[in-house]
Amino acid sequence: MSKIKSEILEILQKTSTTVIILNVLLVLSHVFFLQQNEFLSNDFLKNYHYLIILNMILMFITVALSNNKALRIAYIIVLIFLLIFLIIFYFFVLWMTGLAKGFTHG
Amino acid sequence: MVNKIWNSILMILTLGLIVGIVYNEISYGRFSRFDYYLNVNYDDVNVWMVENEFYTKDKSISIPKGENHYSFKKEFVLEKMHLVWFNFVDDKFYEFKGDLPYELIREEMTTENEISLKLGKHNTFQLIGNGKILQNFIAKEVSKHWFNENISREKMVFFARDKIKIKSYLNLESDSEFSEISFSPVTFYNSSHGSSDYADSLVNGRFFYENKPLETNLIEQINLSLIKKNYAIKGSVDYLKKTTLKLKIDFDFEQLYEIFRLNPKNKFDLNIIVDKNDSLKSIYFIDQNKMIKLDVETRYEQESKIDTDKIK
Repeated sequence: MSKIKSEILEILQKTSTTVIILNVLLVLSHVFFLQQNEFLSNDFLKNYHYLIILNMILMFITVALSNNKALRIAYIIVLIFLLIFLIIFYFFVLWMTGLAKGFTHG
Repeated sequence: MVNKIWNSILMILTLGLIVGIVYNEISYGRFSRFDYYLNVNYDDVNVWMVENEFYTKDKSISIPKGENHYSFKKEFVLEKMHLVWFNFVDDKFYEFKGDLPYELIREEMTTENEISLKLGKHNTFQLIGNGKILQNFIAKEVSKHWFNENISREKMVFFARDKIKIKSYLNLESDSEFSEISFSPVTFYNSSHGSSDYADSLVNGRFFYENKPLETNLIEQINLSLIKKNYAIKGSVDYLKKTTLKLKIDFDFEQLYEIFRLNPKNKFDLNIIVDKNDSLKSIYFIDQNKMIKLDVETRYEQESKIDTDKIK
Protein backbone atom coordinates (compact mmCIF):
# COMPACT_ATOMS: atom_id res chain seq x y z
CA MET A 1 0.00 0.00 0.00
CA SER A 2 2.73 2.39 0.99
CA LYS A 3 4.54 1.50 -2.23
CA ILE A 4 1.57 2.60 -4.33
CA LYS A 5 1.28 5.76 -2.25
CA SER A 6 4.87 6.60 -2.79
CA GLU A 7 4.54 5.98 -6.51
CA ILE A 8 1.50 8.26 -6.72
CA LEU A 9 3.45 10.88 -4.82
CA GLU A 10 6.35 10.42 -7.20
CA ILE A 11 4.08 10.91 -10.21
CA LEU A 12 2.61 14.02 -8.65
CA GLN A 13 6.01 15.41 -7.82
CA LYS A 14 7.34 14.73 -11.26
CA THR A 15 4.19 16.02 -12.98
CA SER A 16 5.39 18.20 -15.75
CA THR A 17 3.64 21.16 -17.32
CA THR A 18 2.79 18.90 -20.28
CA VAL A 19 0.56 16.76 -18.10
CA ILE A 20 -1.29 19.75 -16.67
CA ILE A 21 -1.78 21.40 -20.04
CA LEU A 22 -2.84 18.13 -21.67
CA ASN A 23 -5.47 17.46 -19.03
CA VAL A 24 -6.81 21.01 -19.25
CA LEU A 25 -6.92 20.66 -23.02
CA LEU A 26 -8.83 17.38 -22.84
CA VAL A 27 -11.41 18.78 -20.44
CA LEU A 28 -11.83 21.98 -22.45
CA SER A 29 -12.20 20.06 -25.72
CA HIS A 30 -15.17 18.21 -24.21
CA VAL A 31 -16.67 21.44 -22.89
CA PHE A 32 -16.32 23.02 -26.33
CA PHE A 33 -17.83 19.98 -28.01
CA LEU A 34 -20.82 20.01 -25.66
CA GLN A 35 -21.27 23.69 -26.28
CA GLN A 36 -21.46 23.09 -30.01
CA ASN A 37 -23.53 19.91 -29.93
CA GLU A 38 -26.39 19.32 -27.58
CA PHE A 39 -25.86 16.26 -25.37
CA LEU A 40 -27.09 13.07 -27.11
CA SER A 41 -28.37 15.03 -30.11
CA ASN A 42 -27.90 13.66 -33.63
CA ASP A 43 -24.77 15.70 -34.23
CA PHE A 44 -23.40 14.66 -30.86
CA LEU A 45 -23.78 10.95 -31.63
CA LYS A 46 -22.38 11.45 -35.12
CA ASN A 47 -19.24 13.31 -34.10
CA TYR A 48 -18.34 12.37 -30.54
CA HIS A 49 -16.06 9.51 -31.55
CA TYR A 50 -13.90 11.91 -33.56
CA LEU A 51 -13.33 13.91 -30.39
CA ILE A 52 -12.32 10.79 -28.48
CA ILE A 53 -9.95 9.71 -31.26
CA LEU A 54 -8.42 13.20 -31.28
CA ASN A 55 -7.98 13.01 -27.52
CA MET A 56 -6.31 9.63 -27.88
CA ILE A 57 -3.91 10.93 -30.54
CA LEU A 58 -2.89 13.85 -28.29
CA MET A 59 -2.40 11.46 -25.40
CA PHE A 60 -0.43 9.04 -27.54
CA ILE A 61 1.97 11.74 -28.72
CA THR A 62 2.46 12.87 -25.13
CA VAL A 63 3.22 9.28 -24.09
CA ALA A 64 5.69 8.91 -26.95
CA LEU A 65 7.51 12.08 -25.94
CA SER A 66 7.49 11.45 -22.22
CA ASN A 67 10.55 10.13 -20.37
CA ASN A 68 8.72 9.34 -17.17
CA LYS A 69 8.00 5.61 -16.99
CA ALA A 70 5.30 5.82 -14.32
CA LEU A 71 3.53 8.51 -16.28
CA ARG A 72 3.70 6.43 -19.46
CA ILE A 73 2.07 3.47 -17.72
CA ALA A 74 -0.68 5.72 -16.32
CA TYR A 75 -1.39 7.22 -19.72
CA ILE A 76 -1.40 3.84 -21.46
CA ILE A 77 -3.99 2.62 -18.94
CA VAL A 78 -6.12 5.69 -19.66
CA LEU A 79 -5.69 5.08 -23.40
CA ILE A 80 -6.87 1.49 -23.05
CA PHE A 81 -9.93 2.66 -21.10
CA LEU A 82 -10.66 5.25 -23.75
CA LEU A 83 -10.45 2.58 -26.44
CA ILE A 84 -12.90 0.38 -24.55
CA PHE A 85 -15.19 3.38 -24.12
CA LEU A 86 -14.94 4.11 -27.84
CA ILE A 87 -16.01 0.56 -28.71
CA ILE A 88 -18.95 0.72 -26.28
CA PHE A 89 -19.92 4.12 -27.63
CA TYR A 90 -19.82 2.77 -31.19
CA PHE A 91 -22.26 -0.02 -30.32
CA PHE A 92 -24.42 2.41 -28.37
CA VAL A 93 -24.73 4.66 -31.44
CA LEU A 94 -25.52 1.64 -33.62
CA TRP A 95 -28.24 0.61 -31.19
CA MET A 96 -29.68 4.15 -31.00
CA THR A 97 -29.77 4.63 -34.77
CA GLY A 98 -31.37 1.20 -35.11
CA LEU A 99 -34.03 2.22 -32.61
CA ALA A 100 -34.59 5.52 -34.40
CA LYS A 101 -35.01 3.72 -37.74
CA GLY A 102 -37.40 1.30 -36.10
CA PHE A 103 -39.48 4.21 -34.89
CA THR A 104 -39.54 6.09 -38.17
CA HIS A 105 -40.45 2.99 -40.18
CA GLY A 106 -43.17 1.99 -37.74
CA MET B 1 13.55 20.45 -26.83
CA VAL B 2 10.88 18.27 -28.44
CA ASN B 3 8.97 18.38 -25.16
CA LYS B 4 9.03 22.15 -25.19
CA ILE B 5 7.67 22.33 -28.72
CA TRP B 6 4.92 19.86 -27.78
CA ASN B 7 4.14 21.93 -24.69
CA SER B 8 3.80 25.04 -26.81
CA ILE B 9 1.49 23.27 -29.26
CA LEU B 10 -0.73 22.04 -26.43
CA MET B 11 -0.71 25.52 -24.90
CA ILE B 12 -1.80 27.14 -28.17
CA LEU B 13 -4.59 24.58 -28.62
CA THR B 14 -5.77 25.17 -25.04
CA LEU B 15 -5.80 28.93 -25.48
CA GLY B 16 -7.68 28.50 -28.77
CA LEU B 17 -10.31 26.40 -27.02
CA ILE B 18 -10.68 28.92 -24.18
CA VAL B 19 -11.19 31.74 -26.70
CA GLY B 20 -13.66 29.57 -28.64
CA ILE B 21 -15.70 28.71 -25.55
CA VAL B 22 -15.83 32.32 -24.35
CA TYR B 23 -16.76 33.56 -27.84
CA ASN B 24 -19.56 31.01 -28.09
CA GLU B 25 -20.97 32.01 -24.75
CA ILE B 26 -21.00 35.68 -25.66
CA SER B 27 -22.46 35.32 -29.14
CA TYR B 28 -25.22 32.83 -28.31
CA GLY B 29 -26.11 34.24 -24.90
CA ARG B 30 -26.51 30.80 -23.36
CA PHE B 31 -28.53 32.00 -20.41
CA SER B 32 -31.17 33.67 -22.53
CA ARG B 33 -31.28 30.93 -25.14
CA PHE B 34 -34.76 29.56 -25.82
CA ASP B 35 -36.88 28.62 -28.76
CA TYR B 36 -38.84 31.17 -30.70
CA TYR B 37 -41.74 30.83 -33.06
CA LEU B 38 -42.04 31.94 -36.60
CA ASN B 39 -45.67 32.43 -37.58
CA VAL B 40 -46.95 32.95 -41.06
CA ASN B 41 -50.31 34.57 -40.68
CA TYR B 42 -52.74 34.84 -43.60
CA ASP B 43 -56.05 34.59 -41.81
CA ASP B 44 -57.35 37.94 -42.99
CA VAL B 45 -56.65 37.44 -46.66
CA ASN B 46 -57.70 34.83 -49.12
CA VAL B 47 -54.42 33.37 -50.26
CA TRP B 48 -52.74 30.05 -50.84
CA MET B 49 -49.12 29.68 -49.78
CA VAL B 50 -47.36 27.93 -52.63
CA GLU B 51 -43.76 28.04 -51.43
CA ASN B 52 -42.07 29.18 -48.28
CA GLU B 53 -38.42 28.85 -47.47
CA PHE B 54 -36.57 30.55 -44.63
CA TYR B 55 -32.82 30.66 -44.39
CA THR B 56 -30.65 30.93 -41.31
CA LYS B 57 -26.87 31.06 -41.40
CA ASP B 58 -26.44 27.42 -42.23
CA LYS B 59 -29.79 25.83 -42.92
CA SER B 60 -33.10 26.38 -44.60
CA ILE B 61 -36.55 25.63 -43.24
CA SER B 62 -39.94 25.54 -44.86
CA ILE B 63 -43.17 25.43 -42.92
CA PRO B 64 -45.09 22.29 -43.88
CA LYS B 65 -48.42 22.58 -45.67
CA GLY B 66 -51.34 22.90 -43.33
CA GLU B 67 -49.25 24.45 -40.58
CA ASN B 68 -48.52 28.06 -39.98
CA HIS B 69 -45.72 28.13 -37.51
CA TYR B 70 -42.28 26.70 -36.88
CA SER B 71 -40.15 26.77 -33.77
CA PHE B 72 -36.49 27.63 -33.97
CA LYS B 73 -33.59 27.36 -31.63
CA LYS B 74 -32.61 30.82 -30.62
CA GLU B 75 -29.17 30.63 -32.17
CA PHE B 76 -30.77 30.37 -35.61
CA VAL B 77 -31.64 33.89 -36.58
CA LEU B 78 -33.53 34.24 -39.84
CA GLU B 79 -31.54 35.97 -42.53
CA LYS B 80 -33.35 35.44 -45.81
CA MET B 81 -36.64 34.16 -47.09
CA HIS B 82 -38.41 33.09 -50.23
CA LEU B 83 -42.18 33.23 -50.40
CA VAL B 84 -44.59 32.52 -53.22
CA TRP B 85 -48.32 32.82 -52.70
CA PHE B 86 -51.47 33.03 -54.75
CA ASN B 87 -53.96 35.75 -53.99
CA PHE B 88 -57.42 34.55 -54.98
CA VAL B 89 -58.99 37.99 -54.97
CA ASP B 90 -56.32 39.45 -57.25
CA ASP B 91 -55.99 36.22 -59.24
CA LYS B 92 -52.21 36.69 -59.12
CA PHE B 93 -49.09 34.99 -57.87
CA TYR B 94 -46.72 37.05 -55.73
CA GLU B 95 -43.15 36.28 -54.94
CA PHE B 96 -40.65 37.69 -52.47
CA LYS B 97 -37.03 36.70 -52.36
CA GLY B 98 -34.74 38.73 -50.17
CA ASP B 99 -33.11 39.57 -46.89
CA LEU B 100 -34.75 39.93 -43.53
CA PRO B 101 -33.62 42.59 -41.05
CA TYR B 102 -31.23 40.34 -39.13
CA GLU B 103 -30.30 42.87 -36.44
CA LEU B 104 -33.92 43.87 -35.75
CA ILE B 105 -34.95 40.23 -35.38
CA ARG B 106 -32.05 39.57 -33.04
CA GLU B 107 -33.01 42.53 -30.89
CA GLU B 108 -36.62 41.34 -30.66
CA MET B 109 -35.49 37.88 -29.73
CA THR B 110 -33.74 39.10 -26.61
CA THR B 111 -37.04 40.04 -25.02
CA GLU B 112 -39.76 37.81 -26.44
CA ASN B 113 -40.04 34.91 -28.75
CA GLU B 114 -42.51 35.44 -31.52
CA ILE B 115 -41.70 36.59 -34.99
CA SER B 116 -44.51 36.62 -37.50
CA LEU B 117 -45.16 37.39 -41.11
CA LYS B 118 -48.57 38.83 -41.82
CA LEU B 119 -49.79 38.81 -45.37
CA GLY B 120 -51.83 41.84 -46.28
CA LYS B 121 -53.89 42.91 -49.27
CA HIS B 122 -52.45 42.43 -52.73
CA ASN B 123 -48.69 42.04 -52.63
CA THR B 124 -47.92 43.55 -49.24
CA PHE B 125 -46.82 41.86 -46.06
CA GLN B 126 -45.32 42.79 -42.73
CA LEU B 127 -42.70 41.39 -40.45
CA ILE B 128 -43.94 41.59 -36.87
CA GLY B 129 -41.87 40.95 -33.78
CA ASN B 130 -43.77 40.66 -30.50
CA GLY B 131 -46.69 42.63 -31.87
CA LYS B 132 -44.54 45.45 -33.22
CA ILE B 133 -44.18 46.03 -36.94
CA LEU B 134 -40.50 45.65 -37.81
CA GLN B 135 -40.64 46.10 -41.55
CA ASN B 136 -43.07 46.35 -44.44
CA PHE B 137 -42.40 44.36 -47.57
CA ILE B 138 -43.71 44.43 -51.09
CA ALA B 139 -43.62 41.31 -53.22
CA LYS B 140 -43.50 41.29 -56.98
CA GLU B 141 -46.05 39.76 -59.27
CA VAL B 142 -44.89 36.61 -61.05
CA SER B 143 -46.40 33.98 -63.27
CA LYS B 144 -46.29 30.43 -61.96
CA HIS B 145 -47.81 27.10 -62.79
CA TRP B 146 -51.26 26.52 -61.37
CA PHE B 147 -50.85 24.38 -58.24
CA ASN B 148 -54.14 22.49 -58.06
CA GLU B 149 -54.49 19.62 -60.50
CA ASN B 150 -58.12 18.93 -59.67
CA ILE B 151 -59.69 22.36 -59.85
CA SER B 152 -58.95 24.92 -62.50
CA ARG B 153 -57.70 28.36 -61.62
CA GLU B 154 -60.80 30.01 -63.06
CA LYS B 155 -63.14 28.00 -60.82
CA MET B 156 -61.06 28.40 -57.71
CA VAL B 157 -60.91 32.16 -58.17
CA PHE B 158 -64.65 32.24 -58.82
CA PHE B 159 -65.38 30.47 -55.55
CA ALA B 160 -62.86 32.51 -53.61
CA ARG B 161 -64.24 35.81 -54.82
CA ASP B 162 -67.85 34.84 -54.39
CA LYS B 163 -69.61 35.87 -51.23
CA ILE B 164 -71.94 32.92 -51.09
CA LYS B 165 -73.38 32.21 -47.67
CA ILE B 166 -74.96 28.92 -46.81
CA LYS B 167 -77.24 28.04 -43.91
CA SER B 168 -77.48 24.36 -43.22
CA TYR B 169 -80.35 22.23 -41.93
CA LEU B 170 -80.48 18.62 -40.94
CA ASN B 171 -83.75 16.74 -41.39
CA LEU B 172 -83.85 13.41 -39.67
CA GLU B 173 -86.96 11.56 -40.82
CA SER B 174 -89.24 10.67 -37.94
CA ASP B 175 -88.64 6.94 -38.14
CA SER B 176 -84.91 7.31 -38.21
CA GLU B 177 -83.02 5.39 -35.58
CA PHE B 178 -80.73 8.30 -35.05
CA SER B 179 -81.75 11.26 -33.01
CA GLU B 180 -79.17 13.94 -32.64
CA ILE B 181 -75.81 15.11 -33.81
CA SER B 182 -73.07 13.84 -31.62
CA PHE B 183 -71.17 15.90 -29.14
CA SER B 184 -68.29 16.16 -31.57
CA PRO B 185 -69.20 19.08 -33.78
CA VAL B 186 -70.29 18.95 -37.37
CA THR B 187 -67.53 20.22 -39.57
CA PHE B 188 -68.00 22.23 -42.72
CA TYR B 189 -64.87 22.44 -44.78
CA ASN B 190 -64.58 25.41 -46.95
CA SER B 191 -63.00 24.55 -50.23
CA SER B 192 -61.33 27.76 -51.27
CA HIS B 193 -59.98 29.00 -47.97
CA GLY B 194 -58.79 25.82 -46.38
CA SER B 195 -60.49 26.96 -43.20
CA SER B 196 -63.49 25.28 -41.65
CA ASP B 197 -66.61 26.09 -39.70
CA TYR B 198 -68.00 24.00 -36.90
CA ALA B 199 -71.52 23.54 -35.71
CA ASP B 200 -71.80 22.60 -32.07
CA SER B 201 -75.53 22.19 -31.67
CA LEU B 202 -78.67 21.46 -33.60
CA VAL B 203 -81.87 23.34 -32.81
CA ASN B 204 -85.03 22.49 -34.76
CA GLY B 205 -82.90 20.95 -37.46
CA ARG B 206 -80.77 24.01 -37.90
CA PHE B 207 -77.08 24.06 -37.18
CA PHE B 208 -75.86 26.47 -34.55
CA TYR B 209 -72.45 27.64 -33.59
CA GLU B 210 -71.96 29.36 -30.24
CA ASN B 211 -75.72 29.94 -30.02
CA LYS B 212 -75.85 31.66 -33.41
CA PRO B 213 -77.27 30.06 -36.56
CA LEU B 214 -74.28 28.83 -38.48
CA GLU B 215 -73.63 30.51 -41.79
CA THR B 216 -70.84 28.92 -43.73
CA ASN B 217 -69.06 29.74 -46.92
CA LEU B 218 -69.07 27.38 -49.81
CA ILE B 219 -68.71 23.81 -48.71
CA GLU B 220 -66.45 21.10 -50.02
CA GLN B 221 -67.06 18.48 -47.39
CA ILE B 222 -69.30 17.99 -44.37
CA ASN B 223 -68.43 15.71 -41.50
CA LEU B 224 -71.53 14.69 -39.64
CA SER B 225 -71.87 12.42 -36.62
CA LEU B 226 -75.27 11.12 -35.54
CA ILE B 227 -76.06 9.28 -32.32
CA LYS B 228 -78.37 6.30 -32.34
CA LYS B 229 -81.42 6.39 -30.09
CA ASN B 230 -80.98 4.02 -27.21
CA TYR B 231 -84.13 2.15 -26.16
CA ALA B 232 -82.37 -0.34 -23.90
CA ILE B 233 -83.48 -0.66 -20.28
CA LYS B 234 -81.32 0.90 -17.64
CA GLY B 235 -78.96 -1.67 -16.19
CA SER B 236 -78.65 -3.77 -19.34
CA VAL B 237 -75.41 -4.05 -21.26
CA ASP B 238 -76.88 -2.34 -24.29
CA TYR B 239 -77.83 0.65 -22.19
CA LEU B 240 -74.20 1.60 -21.89
CA LYS B 241 -73.58 1.36 -25.61
CA LYS B 242 -73.32 4.47 -27.68
CA THR B 243 -73.56 4.01 -31.41
CA THR B 244 -72.44 6.77 -33.67
CA LEU B 245 -72.96 7.01 -37.39
CA LYS B 246 -70.35 9.07 -39.11
CA LEU B 247 -71.12 10.57 -42.48
CA LYS B 248 -68.53 12.13 -44.69
CA ILE B 249 -70.25 14.04 -47.44
CA ASP B 250 -68.27 15.28 -50.41
CA PHE B 251 -69.77 17.77 -52.82
CA ASP B 252 -69.31 17.90 -56.53
CA PHE B 253 -67.30 20.97 -57.26
CA GLU B 254 -68.31 21.14 -60.93
CA GLN B 255 -72.01 21.05 -60.10
CA LEU B 256 -71.66 23.77 -57.48
CA TYR B 257 -69.80 25.90 -59.99
CA GLU B 258 -72.61 25.55 -62.49
CA ILE B 259 -75.27 26.40 -59.90
CA PHE B 260 -73.53 29.49 -58.61
CA ARG B 261 -72.37 30.77 -61.98
CA LEU B 262 -75.90 30.84 -63.33
CA ASN B 263 -77.62 31.99 -60.14
CA PRO B 264 -77.42 35.65 -59.14
CA LYS B 265 -78.35 34.87 -55.53
CA ASN B 266 -75.68 34.52 -52.92
CA LYS B 267 -77.64 33.10 -50.01
CA PHE B 268 -78.70 29.50 -49.97
CA ASP B 269 -80.26 27.07 -47.54
CA LEU B 270 -78.72 23.65 -47.53
CA ASN B 271 -81.00 20.80 -46.54
CA ILE B 272 -79.51 17.51 -45.47
CA ILE B 273 -82.08 14.74 -45.28
CA VAL B 274 -81.36 11.48 -43.54
CA ASP B 275 -83.99 8.84 -44.23
CA LYS B 276 -85.36 5.99 -42.16
CA ASN B 277 -82.62 3.63 -43.28
CA ASP B 278 -80.19 6.08 -41.79
CA SER B 279 -78.50 6.67 -45.04
CA LEU B 280 -78.25 10.03 -46.58
CA LYS B 281 -81.25 10.47 -48.79
CA SER B 282 -80.55 13.76 -50.41
CA ILE B 283 -78.98 17.09 -50.08
CA TYR B 284 -80.71 20.08 -51.56
CA PHE B 285 -80.07 23.72 -52.03
CA ILE B 286 -83.28 25.58 -51.49
CA ASP B 287 -83.63 28.61 -53.66
CA GLN B 288 -87.00 30.25 -52.96
CA ASN B 289 -89.34 27.37 -53.67
CA LYS B 290 -87.07 25.59 -56.04
CA MET B 291 -85.06 22.66 -54.76
CA ILE B 292 -81.81 21.84 -56.43
CA LYS B 293 -80.61 18.33 -55.75
CA LEU B 294 -76.89 18.10 -55.19
CA ASP B 295 -74.61 15.33 -56.33
CA VAL B 296 -72.75 14.11 -53.34
CA GLU B 297 -70.55 11.22 -52.48
CA THR B 298 -71.09 9.88 -48.99
CA ARG B 299 -69.02 7.54 -46.89
CA TYR B 300 -70.53 5.89 -43.84
CA GLU B 301 -68.91 4.54 -40.77
CA GLN B 302 -70.69 3.13 -37.74
CA GLU B 303 -69.00 2.99 -34.41
CA SER B 304 -70.17 1.45 -31.16
CA LYS B 305 -68.54 2.08 -27.86
CA ILE B 306 -69.26 2.20 -24.17
CA ASP B 307 -70.68 5.53 -23.08
CA THR B 308 -68.43 6.61 -20.24
CA ASP B 309 -70.85 9.33 -19.10
CA LYS B 310 -73.48 6.74 -18.29
CA ILE B 311 -71.08 4.72 -16.18
CA LYS B 312 -70.50 7.72 -13.95
